Amino acid sequence: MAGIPALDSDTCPVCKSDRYLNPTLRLLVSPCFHKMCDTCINRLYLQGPAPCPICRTRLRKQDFVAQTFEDLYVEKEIQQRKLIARVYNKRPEDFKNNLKAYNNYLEEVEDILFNLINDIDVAETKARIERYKAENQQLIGANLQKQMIEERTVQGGLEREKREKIIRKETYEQAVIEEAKVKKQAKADIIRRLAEEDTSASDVIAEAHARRPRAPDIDKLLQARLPTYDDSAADHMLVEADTSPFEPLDHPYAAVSYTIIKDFYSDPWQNHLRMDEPARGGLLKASGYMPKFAYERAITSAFAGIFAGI
Amino acid sequence: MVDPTAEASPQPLPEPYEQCSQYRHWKHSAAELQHLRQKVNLKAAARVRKAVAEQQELTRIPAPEPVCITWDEQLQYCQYYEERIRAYCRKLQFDRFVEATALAYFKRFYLRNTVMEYDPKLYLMTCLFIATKVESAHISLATFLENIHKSPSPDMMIELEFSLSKGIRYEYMVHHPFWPLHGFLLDVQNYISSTHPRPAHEHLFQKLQRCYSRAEQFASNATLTDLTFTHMPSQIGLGCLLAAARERDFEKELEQYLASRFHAKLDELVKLRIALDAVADAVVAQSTKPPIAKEAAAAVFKKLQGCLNPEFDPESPL
Repeated sequence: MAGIPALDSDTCPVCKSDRYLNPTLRLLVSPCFHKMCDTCINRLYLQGPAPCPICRTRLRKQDFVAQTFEDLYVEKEIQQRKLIARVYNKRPEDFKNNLKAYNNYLEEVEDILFNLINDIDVAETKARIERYKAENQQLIGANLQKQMIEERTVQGGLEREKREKIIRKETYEQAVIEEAKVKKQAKADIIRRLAEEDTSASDVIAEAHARRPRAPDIDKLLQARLPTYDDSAADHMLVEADTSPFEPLDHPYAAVSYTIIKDFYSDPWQNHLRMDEPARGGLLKASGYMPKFAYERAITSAFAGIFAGI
Repeated sequence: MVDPTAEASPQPLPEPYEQCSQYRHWKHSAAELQHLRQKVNLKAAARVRKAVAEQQELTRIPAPEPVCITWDEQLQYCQYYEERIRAYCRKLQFDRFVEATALAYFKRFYLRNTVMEYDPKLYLMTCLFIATKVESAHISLATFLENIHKSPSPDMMIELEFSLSKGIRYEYMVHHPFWPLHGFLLDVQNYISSTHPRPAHEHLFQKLQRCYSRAEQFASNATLTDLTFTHMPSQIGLGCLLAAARERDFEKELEQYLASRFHAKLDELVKLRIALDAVADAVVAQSTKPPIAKEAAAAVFKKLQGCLNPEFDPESPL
């Protein structure tokens, strides 16, 4: 890749036209990882399959895809990985949680990928994959199935969330409209009564106030409208470890106290502080220190678990 | 200060100490302790025999069948090194919290591991070094190793730190009997001033003070014993105070205090009493116990050379 890469990458290697000459230039990538502009593709593959002008692989027009990554090496790696992952799809559970065996297996997969990506012993590696495929046909099938179920569960969850969001929004909007309508009605009612009946104005207003419509409870409405789901079927398929984060407030406890903490004790631990001397004690107090803190800790720990395990 | 919701709910809320790792993972009765030690020892011995056999197959050098050390030999051997930890603490002038924490780590580590696989000579340094960090009395690794005769290399210390941490389940917080003991010193004062006439206070406080300084010695002795596993720190603290009171003629006052302070069910009180007596006897026994003789430790060491697990030896072909 000599020269200026930015310009270089915008040149079609077949017809050598670049963005300067053709502002609508669009580069696509072939399955053999060669770039071409769409003009060239139309020109070359208009009449059905034809060989690649660079490496002579037979290609079709439909085979060309838009490039996701600038570096073709990365592009190739991603594609290969996707292909291999469909065959080499063992999970840690399949090794009976033998971490070493699983790691060896992963290492093997990486070896194969490296060979394929860097074109080392391609034929041999492909034969190896075929052999593996034949040996583990059943397991591969089962794992594909599992993967599909997992994907579907995730997809389902996302879709459900989307639906719920829409319902939530609708319900809320409806509630707002409803509320406005009810309010308007009540107002009209008061005016009508004031005009027609001969009760005193303050009575009418007080009565209307007592009967004033309550805002509809959105939570209740939502609960009625939101469908409930039964997750138990999905849960049976996926056994997950407990990964819930630790919540400090989820563990309530009772503190039993047998005594009270006084402000002053004769305490050998604090004699050297000489809190009773105004000069020194004042200084310590200014820093926020109180002997009571230490007393509290000592006495709490004295009675903590005094009846435990006996 | 009982939470009002606690009375309403059918099941009483747990007390805070039930959530600490020391209570959940490191509390065993004496029988459990012995059982655990025997089990760990037997398993390790089987591992050693297997590893030695494998090594023999690899090297083709005939080795004698290893004679593994028993659990009580290991216990004795560890106790010898616990004394060494104390000696190092005195030499490096660490305070009693560091010492007690290091001892607790050492005990916890060798409760579930054996000296056949992990060398206590190295691990005692690691325990001590981690304890300095945990008890915020950290000194640099270089200074630490300078003061130690025949010290391991710093890289090794760092490596051991990890395996020790794994052995103690990364539970670095250890509760010691010192704070509870201090708490009881304060609370007994509270009791005296509320029940005795004022003129007697000064005299009683002095007696209590003397009793307390003796109890502190007992408390640091307690960290050398299995009490760390079998009793809660608060029980050890009070037990030490009780043992000291018996020596220093303060028993009558302390008994009154015990009778008045705890308002629990009678059978619980009786059980507490038994636990306290057990602690008091144990700490007194520990203070009169002679230290493990160097010869005894040397004998175990000699026997140990024949049954080290070759899997843990970097020079072994395994």
